[in-house]
Amino acid sequence: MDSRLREVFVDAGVRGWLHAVPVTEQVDDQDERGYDADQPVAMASLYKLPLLVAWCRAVDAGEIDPVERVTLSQLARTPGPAGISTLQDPVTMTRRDVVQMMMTLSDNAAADSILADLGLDRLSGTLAALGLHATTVRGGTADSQRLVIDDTGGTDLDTAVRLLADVDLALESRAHDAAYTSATTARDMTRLLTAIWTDAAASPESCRWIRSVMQRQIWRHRLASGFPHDDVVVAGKTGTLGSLRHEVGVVTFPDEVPVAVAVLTHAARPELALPRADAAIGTAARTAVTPLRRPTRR
Amino acid sequence: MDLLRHLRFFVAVAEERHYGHAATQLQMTQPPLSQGIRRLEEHLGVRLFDRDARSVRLTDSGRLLLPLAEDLLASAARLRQTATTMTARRVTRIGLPPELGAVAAAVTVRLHDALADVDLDTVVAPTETLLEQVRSAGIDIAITRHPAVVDGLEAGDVARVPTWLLLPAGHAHDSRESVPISTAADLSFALSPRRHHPAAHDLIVDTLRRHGHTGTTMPVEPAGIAVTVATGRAAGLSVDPPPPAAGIVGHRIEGNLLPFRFRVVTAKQSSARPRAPLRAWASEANVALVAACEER
Repeated sequence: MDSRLREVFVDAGVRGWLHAVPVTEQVDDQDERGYDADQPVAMASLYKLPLLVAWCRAVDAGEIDPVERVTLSQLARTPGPAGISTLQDPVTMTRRDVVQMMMTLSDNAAADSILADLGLDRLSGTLAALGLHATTVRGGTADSQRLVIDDTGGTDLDTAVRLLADVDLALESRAHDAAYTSATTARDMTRLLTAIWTDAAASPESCRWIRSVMQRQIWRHRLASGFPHDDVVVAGKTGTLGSLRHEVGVVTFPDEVPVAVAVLTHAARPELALPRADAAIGTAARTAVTPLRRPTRR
Repeated sequence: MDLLRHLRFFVAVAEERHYGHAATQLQMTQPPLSQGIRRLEEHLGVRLFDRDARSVRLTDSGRLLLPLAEDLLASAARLRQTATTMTARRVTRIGLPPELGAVAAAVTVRLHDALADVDLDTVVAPTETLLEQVRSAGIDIAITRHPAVVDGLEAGDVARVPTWLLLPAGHAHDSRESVPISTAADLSFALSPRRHHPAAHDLIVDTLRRHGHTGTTMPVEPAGIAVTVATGRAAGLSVDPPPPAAGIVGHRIEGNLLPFRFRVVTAKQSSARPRAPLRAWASEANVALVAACEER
């Protein structure tokens, strides 16, 4: 294993998993960087990425109308720190805008409404079709939140989150355990990204749209923090649940082959604010991506 | 024939590329070694070495068989070693971080009483080193600073030990026993090097800043912290009261805001030495640690 990646993770006080690989259709290209890349990790909101792909495949098949308007009730709305999750009233928007909220802000309410419409079976079918055999989605965000509440003995989500963040309690939740909750591997995530970037995950039109949505992701403190250059495009999806902090994405330098990278972390400290752990995701990504950079063949 | 003995000949000659040197390594004379290699070659039906007047070279077959021979010898060594640990009196190796101070003695004494039929062997090392050694089964149980990455390990309850704020005697005259963190707001803090336990270190630093500390931190080996404070260059934290030497005063910290946190850590039962009752030892260590910390 890469000792420089190990140093980055140890220094940040996190357990880390990583996989990075240039995005190319050529199967003979084996250049890659891995750090426990095949070990299953609880994926938190990373499940929203394959969910998006499954939704796009349903649109491609003509089963979902992306511009149909839907109304998300404020009742039974999955809580979360951003987006529709934080609003107080019913929200009406097109289905594709709901999907975009899920991806750009990691909006939990949006994600659970999409998962409810599409169904877990449909999502599992997409995972199988794309060869993501190490990835299992067992439920949505509300399901993870229920696990956290049960495991902390809290009565509501706010209390549960506070208990989980208490450094003296050192509580564990099944929501952090790959054996009990939705899980993936770093390698499966770069495989999914490669499929999206090579137009293999859905129709070329849908794949192009997914890439553009992922570029509009608002959180820049993780992957993007490792590439602070205005001419470098970092398109990603974060995953956060208590001490789990992940981001998977594709880094594109001008005139270079894009590189898919997945960094998953589990911090030693349980606190919600841990900027060193967020920044370590960017540092680890840069450490892995830099040796994989190469010019595009003309 | 004694296959393992002859494989040892094979590996020695392959390593030394010289019968005389190999015989010396095996503490035997050359003729029985040469005969042994011949017997092995007959037994396997394969020529292992090409010899001429000056040198001994592995044949292609010999090169292919060498790693298999080495594997067999390594397995045999492991078998003997495991058998030995089954008969020997058990030694529990316990790792302790230097910041535990005098609490270490209290824990060890309690553990010694609880595990009367076990010999205790203690190792003092920084938390990151201890965690590596628990993972590689170099030590059985470690008390480590919390928080730390304990992924894949068993970790017990968090025990908090209040710390003493060590200040240079001349810093600020304060007769109270308990003082707020802000008393040392403008002093540098002498802390064990961050690499010893990055997460626990950062928690201390973040807590200092949360309570208005504006100074820097200074990496100092735990044994040197009192001296650094005494020379007036920094404040320090310690689970033990300051030594009765001139130059340092110790205060309790209001609200006990900067405790050192510790946890008992062991390998998961399945991986490490299978016969060691690790879980029982770890739970005794946990009880001993929590009790020793509560006395503070």
